[in-house]
Amino acid sequence: MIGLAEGVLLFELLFVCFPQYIPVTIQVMALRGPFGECLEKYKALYRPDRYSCLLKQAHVNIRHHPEFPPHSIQTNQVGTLDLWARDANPKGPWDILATGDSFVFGYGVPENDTFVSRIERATGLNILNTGTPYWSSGEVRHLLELFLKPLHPKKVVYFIYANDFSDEAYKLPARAAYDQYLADLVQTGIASTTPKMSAVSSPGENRSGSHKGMRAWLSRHSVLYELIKMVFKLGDYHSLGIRKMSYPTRQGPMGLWPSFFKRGGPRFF
Amino acid sequence: MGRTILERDIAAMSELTRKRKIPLILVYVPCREQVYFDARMAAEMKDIGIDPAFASRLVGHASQDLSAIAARHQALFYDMTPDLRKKRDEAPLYFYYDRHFTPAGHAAAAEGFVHFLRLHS
Repeated sequence: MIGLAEGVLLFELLFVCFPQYIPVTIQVMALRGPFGECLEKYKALYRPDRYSCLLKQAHVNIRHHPEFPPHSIQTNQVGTLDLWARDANPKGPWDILATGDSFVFGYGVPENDTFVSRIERATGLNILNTGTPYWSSGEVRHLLELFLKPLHPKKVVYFIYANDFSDEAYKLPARAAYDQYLADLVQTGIASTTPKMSAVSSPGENRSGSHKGMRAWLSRHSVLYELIKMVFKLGDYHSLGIRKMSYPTRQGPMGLWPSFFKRGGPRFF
Repeated sequence: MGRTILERDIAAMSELTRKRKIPLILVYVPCREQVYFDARMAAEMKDIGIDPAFASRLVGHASQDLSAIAARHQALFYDMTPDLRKKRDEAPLYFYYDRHFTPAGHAAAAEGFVHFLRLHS
């Protein structure tokens, strides 16, 4: 029994000393290690909006990430509007309003390397990059409803990633709550419900905090606990407070400790 | 259901932009599987019991759907998949774990779209 306890302790100690060897899926779900730290840092970029999350004035440095080149993320206010964007010089008039999710935002790369910046340099057009991680078509529509008139660009380009086809379905209950909130305000002047999204301050915030007490502590500090959850598909995490997440099901030994086993080209299935 | 909501949102965006006479362009950004789908992957899928023809249709499905949605709502459409496929052997276009574009992926995505913009300016 004592031997077993010593083994568990040594196992956990290994990951305390070398967090980069925690399986990437656990790093992301439990917000530990370099991948989890990067997600944590992204929290500083967001402010709550009743409809969704919006960017705020922020400056974040991403360093020592296993994949990403070192870079900074700086958001700037667009004119005098209540809108912040990852755009070094957000001054109109705009030739193009580029919008979409994290691909447009340039998640994981310096601002100069994003395709929006590259298009801007190649064409000489003034492009406003309003891409925001976690956005899908609902947020983009909301952005246009609020800001199309004051921005008045010559073109609107919406970059749609594959997950935009499904994400809105997950967000539907939160959207319905928001619509109900608006309807109540219009009819009575008093909202009977608070939209679910309003309680959410940033994406990933509830990722490891969906449990309380001992379970939350174990989730943040024990790799063995997370491994057991992963193997037996126990427990849910929350992303944005609107979508329940579990460990991916397509995870063989390669996916579990890919940094040890994976070499020789990408494996997707 | 997600597809229906996406189309509803695009319809609303199209109406908003048309009112102000601003052209709306929809650009499809493919996921890694769509860019790297090839004979080797088809063979691997066959090994695990997935019909490669079905998988091939599946990976091309999203852009075809979006093209149809764009046509229905008078929006221009551009698919980045061919541009990225052309460059996929030169450098990794997506991060391995994170699955977002690498700087090389961003460069490949920008290159083709610049030509499209010049054609439609």
